[in-house]
Amino acid sequence: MNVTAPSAAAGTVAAGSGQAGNVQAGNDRPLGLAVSAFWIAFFSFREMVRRRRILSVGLLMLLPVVLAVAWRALDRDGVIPPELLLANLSGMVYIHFMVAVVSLAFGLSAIGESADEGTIIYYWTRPLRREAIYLGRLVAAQAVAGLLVAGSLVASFLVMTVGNFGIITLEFLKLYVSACLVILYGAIVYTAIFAAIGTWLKKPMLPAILFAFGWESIGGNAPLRLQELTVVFHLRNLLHNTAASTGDMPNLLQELKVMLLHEVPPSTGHSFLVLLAVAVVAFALGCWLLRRKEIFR
Amino acid sequence: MNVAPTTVAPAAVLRAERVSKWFGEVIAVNDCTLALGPGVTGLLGLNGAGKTTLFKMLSGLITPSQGEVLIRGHRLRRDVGLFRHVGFCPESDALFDWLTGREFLMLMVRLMGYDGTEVAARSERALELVHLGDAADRRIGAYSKGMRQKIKMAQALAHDPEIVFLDEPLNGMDPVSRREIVALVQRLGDEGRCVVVSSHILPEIETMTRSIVLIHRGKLMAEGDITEIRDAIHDRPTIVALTSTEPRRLASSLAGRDLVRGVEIDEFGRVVARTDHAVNFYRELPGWLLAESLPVDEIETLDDNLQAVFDYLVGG
Repeated sequence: MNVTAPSAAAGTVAAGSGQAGNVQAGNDRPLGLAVSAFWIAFFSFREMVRRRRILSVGLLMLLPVVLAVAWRALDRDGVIPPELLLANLSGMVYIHFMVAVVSLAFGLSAIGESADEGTIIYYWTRPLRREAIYLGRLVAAQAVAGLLVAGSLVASFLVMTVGNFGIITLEFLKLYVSACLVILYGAIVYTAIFAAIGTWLKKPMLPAILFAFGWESIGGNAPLRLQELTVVFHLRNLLHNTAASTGDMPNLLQELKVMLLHEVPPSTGHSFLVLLAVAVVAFALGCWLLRRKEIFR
Repeated sequence: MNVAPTTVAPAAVLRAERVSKWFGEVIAVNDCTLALGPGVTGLLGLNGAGKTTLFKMLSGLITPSQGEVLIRGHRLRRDVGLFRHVGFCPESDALFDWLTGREFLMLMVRLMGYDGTEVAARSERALELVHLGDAADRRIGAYSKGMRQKIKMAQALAHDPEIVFLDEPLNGMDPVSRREIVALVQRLGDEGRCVVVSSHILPEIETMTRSIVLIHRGKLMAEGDITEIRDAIHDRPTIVALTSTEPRRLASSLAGRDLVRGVEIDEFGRVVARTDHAVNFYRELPGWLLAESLPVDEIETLDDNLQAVFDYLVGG
């Protein structure tokens, strides 16, 4: 049995008495991108710092600090110069591992987790551009990831220098500041990539891990220009260019490769722009995916 | 059997035009056309009937695979600015648990585009509306299920939307809160807002409205007033019980009428008449009673409630 649907009369009809006014054609614009993204970022940041994972990731971020403590405790004769330790911490520990971990932890969940939980619905049903929702959540995730990395870097610096002020030379400070900037830049770029992956896939963890520790590790050490297709290569390139005089192991290997393969590494500006482009493309892709997202919770 | 349209929405605020939604090879909603105007409308359906999918398409949460959902002629999924006029109370219990009720409402109102003083005033009004003023400064994480439901309602109404979507709005509420929310929903409808309520609990819907949309197996099965829909179900005559001091004379009188398919006297001594056209029956009945001076103390329709209509239509 069917009771067929009526064909309703169309037309402009007096609407509700709501103070928000009647629905009018064409004069309802979404809120401004910057203002709405700011408020979303502000509240999302508060949300993200309350997640339990901040403790586990925070503990993990103590790894470089522990290494610095070990250096202070064991290398009393100054066998390992502080610049070499800092360059290795930056190149091997932070860029190859820590930045990817912290970005993965907060980038993947920036949109995906909110959609899975159902809280995204409260942003979704506001007059907000989807780009504003995405930008707000992404900026919050980048801020949390950046703060964790920055905290770890500051703690490492303090462990290395407190009571050991003699190591603070201009060259050391220059190296430290440039390493911090490159590492933070890496956190921003990686978080943008993982946020897009988290928006795209329902179960993004495995692909993200494969990307971060599979492709980035293998591709980043591949010969010839293949390695230029990885984020880690460009981060390393930024770091090596700033740390050229430190004589650390990755830098020596890089120099060796240049000599053997006649590879000329890209300039600092080139790597910076490539990473910026990656972040922008990931952001644009994430926005596009979010606009098409269907909310089932 | 097809039955003629029951009612025509007086003012279509929200329209679904031939919308379908499929997931892979599964068709969740199939070619539904619907127009909703001011007032409360209950969206009904069995589990898996496509009710939730249709509700989510109407409220802009998912995109139809085919067809369009329009608010005053505009697509909500594309023209997101239209959400200024939409309030949505989700079924999901997910909330920003670390915020207080007031902070949550202020964020929600702010994201509607209001400035500081208006944000505070509207949040306060919304808290009063759902009687959560005393708990406004407690963290949502410490709220009971009923309070969580109320704060979800408050955020849906704080900006005075013209169109309100309520997904299982009475979930987890105590009887007093239920009564308050039912009264609130009725008031929203009376104020001329287009209120769409989705629920699988029929008595819950029936307390809020007589206007329903029934979806079954992905198809729109019925739309309109429950009584009119009931009247349009011709293969199931409406059963009317009349209490009279002269049941035999009343039964005899009714038995000869064209509008009456059958008459009997039940175990309570009531005259039970079956009619294919309840609306016409009720229109003519006073005349018949007066003409023959038939005494009737009470008239009751035994099966024009929502449960009966639902059972008849979905084959329950």
